[in-house]
Order: sequence, then structure tokens, then C-alpha cells
Amino acid sequence: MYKWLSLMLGTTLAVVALWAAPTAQSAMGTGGAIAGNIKGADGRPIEGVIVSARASDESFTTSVFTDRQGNYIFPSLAAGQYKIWAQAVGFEAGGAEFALGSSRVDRNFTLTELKVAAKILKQMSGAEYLNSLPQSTPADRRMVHVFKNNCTSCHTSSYVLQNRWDEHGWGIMVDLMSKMGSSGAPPNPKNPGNRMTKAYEQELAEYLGRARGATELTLGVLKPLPRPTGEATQVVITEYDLPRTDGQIQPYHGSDWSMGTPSRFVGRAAHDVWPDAEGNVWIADDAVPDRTIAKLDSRTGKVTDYSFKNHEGKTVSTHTAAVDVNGKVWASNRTDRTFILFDPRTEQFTNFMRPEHMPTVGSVLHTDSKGNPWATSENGAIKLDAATGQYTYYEAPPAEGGSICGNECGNWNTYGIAVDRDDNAWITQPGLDRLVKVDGRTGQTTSVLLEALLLQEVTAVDRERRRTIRASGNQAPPGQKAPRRNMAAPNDDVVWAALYTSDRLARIDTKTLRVREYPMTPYTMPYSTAVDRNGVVYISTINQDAIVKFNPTTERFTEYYLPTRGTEIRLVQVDNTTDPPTVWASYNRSNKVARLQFRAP
Amino acid sequence: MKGLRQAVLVFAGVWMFLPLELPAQSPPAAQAADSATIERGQEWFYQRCSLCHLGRVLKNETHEPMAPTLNGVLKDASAAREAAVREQIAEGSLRMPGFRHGLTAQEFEELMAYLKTL
Repeated sequence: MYKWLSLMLGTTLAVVALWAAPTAQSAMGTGGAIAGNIKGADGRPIEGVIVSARASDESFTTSVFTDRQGNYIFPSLAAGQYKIWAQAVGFEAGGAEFALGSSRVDRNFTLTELKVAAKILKQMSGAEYLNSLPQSTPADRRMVHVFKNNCTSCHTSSYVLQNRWDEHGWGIMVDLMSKMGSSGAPPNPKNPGNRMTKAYEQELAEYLGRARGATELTLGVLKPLPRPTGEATQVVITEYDLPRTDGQIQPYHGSDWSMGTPSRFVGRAAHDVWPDAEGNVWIADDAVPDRTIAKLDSRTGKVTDYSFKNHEGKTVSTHTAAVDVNGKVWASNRTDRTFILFDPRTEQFTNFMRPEHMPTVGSVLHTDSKGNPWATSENGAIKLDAATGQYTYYEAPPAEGGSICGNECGNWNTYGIAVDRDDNAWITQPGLDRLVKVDGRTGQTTSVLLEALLLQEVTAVDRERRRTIRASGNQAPPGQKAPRRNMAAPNDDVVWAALYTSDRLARIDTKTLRVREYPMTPYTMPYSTAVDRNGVVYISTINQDAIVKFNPTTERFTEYYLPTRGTEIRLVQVDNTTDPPTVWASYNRSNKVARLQFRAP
Repeated sequence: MKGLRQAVLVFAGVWMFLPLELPAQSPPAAQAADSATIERGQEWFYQRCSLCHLGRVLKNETHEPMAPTLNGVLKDASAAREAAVREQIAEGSLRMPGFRHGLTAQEFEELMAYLKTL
């Protein structure tokens, strides 16, 4: 590992710690260019290498990819003292440091292949770890699905699987995980543990003790994903640091793959981001003290924090922040379980209190064409009339039962919500493998049930657990599809949903309710979707450190790999005011906000 | 075995504490680690130890760690104490997984270097 990389990160951390006001810096794009060629030790060009650049006085990193000839070129960057580094799974990183002025600087690299399995594993994403686990038997393949469905939502698989423990050690951890919530707060000692996790606990401990125990995986079994090629290399990615309000600094935040997947002890902050039409990105935060929402100025990287104290003097926590048609920011108030509104012009919050009898406002939120917010709620959806402050709750239909634990399993998790162009709301219920359409005019709710996933590894035990134990997006037996988050096309009658535990993208016709599913790369776990003005879909994947683009016309996926290991993007969003549209996402593990700008082919 | 394991996994607040009282011995010669080593060790600490051994602030809530804090765990430690800490990390206990497989020798030393700064 290059020692200069650790020094670079030290310099970067110093910049972040001092970030209190915008630095006087030249605007992006008025300096020189950085370019070069990358080849292997055999002299052949390497396509799909991620090359990253960071100036010593900046709080963002810019990354590009090598093309088929191994060439890379950055857009014009501001003058400064730069460090650049080149990474690809299976290769030792390359790097250089130099001063960039107004002219071009060329740096070429020859990358050396890694021959030590443990070093390659450190670089791998969650899906690559899962690809590489023992799974030559149906029983072991089943366990990969069990692990994926029950052990990923709070942490990408690579974070977990970079550990190696014996069966006893894995048993301790699985038991602890069954009792902990996703926030990381210690569990109540009286908590018996999540029933689904407890059901699979012994099997998980046995399999993981074998797969990630005393014996390291060998070079021959490692299965990294193919490097990006062609269109997937034609993107510029900017990653903005998101400083914490309490000054905690993470030594490594995924930029150096040789350090593995970082902890999110410090890195958990932004849950969702949403761009506005002014070049700002609004950030919802459910972890960091003294921050309700934040605003990132994409032109300078400046972050402005906004804090709202409720009637108890507590800082309001938010999960989703969405910009409405009027340019105002709605957020899900997780502290009071209400809707909260922020006016960027006046910088004032309005907390819309909810009647006591009214079900709570959930985590995920969207707005309709009139600027009214909708959110998930307890087994349904909830809406606020922004003009009158009136709440309306819409209860989902009874569970269909049969092969899925229905009414007897109680309050099912409602996780995602989207509003289509007719102002109908669409909620997802991952534990029930269904979406529910809420008619915006009549309030009628209609269930859209997904067909059961045909997976040969599913056993009678799994079917029994599916029938008798409450599943959710975070814990589910093999065979669950688990629609997680969804988004409606702005100019079409379509909703796109990420089918989380089945690695699929679902297209739902909002008129006919017909569902069509598109398989994605296995084990990548699609989490959220966004749709641009042209109907192109963008999907975030928890296990892949990538943003995936889907073209509905060609039915083709393009995977844009991200420069950070351990991203855990929980919402991808798109800015339709730019040409081409710009994609934004927050890294919930490594405290950054990423922007993807697509280059012309 | 299952019943024993269930018993010890009850959250009774009884932890396997390290021995705090050891025969007085001369501390080993100080070996200053460079800042890069300590920084790497801090990352291993966050990745592998923070879940249980660090308290955390989540918005308005302050949570104490589930396991003993490690502040001062190796401060002026004797050779025997350091050996005991190494053993605990490598082998674990009834409540703690062992890390002998999960950390390379270099990573283990980097973690130790960081722990010595606490």
C-alpha cells in the first residue's frame, strides 16, 4: 500500500476538520487536465481502472475510468497540489503526486497483479465476496441466500465477511445482531431477538464458521466482478466529504481499497439526498448530533447544517428529505414521527404536528404535483395537506396470506413510497412481497402482489418460515423478493421498484398493474430507484458499490462502479435540470455525497 | 452445549474482564509506532472492535458501550498484561469472538499500536 496514500488521507482529514466556511478557491473546471495511460505488467492496456484525483485544499475527490486503450482523462480541474491514485480489484494501486497548473499533466501507470488472496479480498465488494463463498452444493448455495437476505441491510456483505471467526465466534455475532437495530444502539437485554434471524442463527454460524473461519479463501475461488467496459467507463464521479457536526473524523473512508470496507461508526450520517434546481443537494441525517438536514453546494463543496429542536428540546432526526415543486424541502421527522418543512429562502422549519390518534409518519417520503408530502406509515401511507395541515391515513389491504405470514404476523413493515404523475402513491411492503397503490383522489388501496421467486435452493424449512415468521426488508428467507424502494417515471405511467433480496428490477404499469421483472447481477441487492425525464432508471445496489443504469428501450443494464468501498447507498436521485441528467447519491457508510456526470459516448 | 451457550448469552451484564491486578513488573521498553501505523490500527479498531467497545452518540441519545471500554488497557502495561490482551483478542471469550484468523500479523500489530495510545 502506498504510504503516501495514508499521508494524503491525513491531509484530507485536516481539511475536513477545519471546514467551517467556504474556502477561497478557484471554481471547478478552470485549471488544467490530468491524463495518462494504464497498462499491466504484460504491457497490455487495462480498461475499467478507477483513477481518482484530489487537491490538497479541496474537500472532494474526482474520479474517471480508463477506456479500452487504457487511457484516462479528467475534466478540467482547478490548479493545485494533487495526489492521484489508480485502483482495480486484483491489482496493486498506482499513485502519483504533482502540482497542476493550467496545462495538462500526464501520468502513466503500470499496475502489478496481486497474488495474495487476502489482499484481493480486502478490495472486494459485497457481491464479490458472496460470489467467492463456498457454494458448490445446493445447501451451501442456500446459505449464501440466507446470509444475503438476513445479514446485509445494515452493513454491506463485505463489511461482515472481511471477518473470519470460528463457529462459536459467528454464533456470538449473529445472536447479537438479532437483537440490535440498524442504528447501532445497544439492544435491550430483554429483547429476545428477531425471530427470522434467530431461526437461521445456528445454520449461519455453522456455514460462516466454515466459509469465513480458520481457512482463508484461495486465489482460485475468488470471483471478482468484471471491470467496467465501454459505456460504463464514460462517467465522471465527484465525491464530496460530508463533515460531521461533532468533528469526528474517520481515518479511512473507503477510498483506499487495501484497507477493506470501513466501519460506519463515524461514517453513518446522510441517509438520503435530493437535488434542487439551484445546484444544491439536500441531505437527510438520522445519526449526527445537531443536524436535522444539511445543504451541499455542489459548486463549492460547502456544507451548511440546519438544526431544528422540537418541543422537548431534541434535535429532530430525518430519514428522507425531498424537494417539492415549489423548491421547498420536506423531511420525515423521525423524532416526532411527523412531516417537517424547511423553506430554503427563509431558512425556517415548520413542524406539522400530528393528531394523537393518527398513525405515525414513517421514514420514507415523497411529494405530489401540488407540493403535498406523502410518507410510509404503519401498514399503509400517510399524507399531509400542506395548505391546511390536515393528515390523512390510508390503510393497506389485509395481507393475502397463504404462503406468506399474513394477519397473524401483525404490523408489516412499509418501507418505500413513490408518487406517480397522477398523484397516486405507491408503497412497498417487503415482508409481504407486494406493493400497494393508493388512489390519490379516492383513497382506494389496491394490492399488487409479486409472484413467488422460483429458487431451487429454497427448502421446506424456508417455506415454513416464510409462512410463520414475519419477514421484512432486513430479514427474509430465501425466495423472498422484498420490494424495497421505488420511484415513478415523471413522464410515463410506470413505477420502478428495487426487488432487494431477489436481485431484480420490477416495472409496474400504474394503469394495468402488470408487473415485469428484470434480473440484475446476482447478489448485488438493488435498494432504491430513480427515473430521469427520459424514462431511464437508476438503481443503487447495497452489495456492489455501484449505480446501475437501466434503459427500458434496450432493456440493457450499465453498471457504474464507484471509487469508494463501502458506500451503502440507500437512495439514488436524479437532477433532471442538467443535460444529460445528473445522478446523486449519499454514502450511508462512508459519509460522502456522490455525483455522477455522464460523458458523451 | 446449546443450553450452556444460551445461558452465557443472556445479557446479565457479566463480562469476562481482563485481570487488572498483576504482579508488579518493569514495563517493556517503549517502542514508538509511527503515525501511519497507529492510523491503520485505529481503522482496524473501528472495523473490528467499535461495535462493542465504543459508546456512541446517535442524534440525541448517548449510549454506553456494551463491552468494557479500552481506555488505558495497555497504558504502562507490563509484558504479562500485554500478553494477556493479545491472548484475549486472538482467542476471544464466551462473549467475544476471537480474531486470530481475521487479522494478519501486521494488522494485529497495528491494532496493538493503536490500543497503546488509548
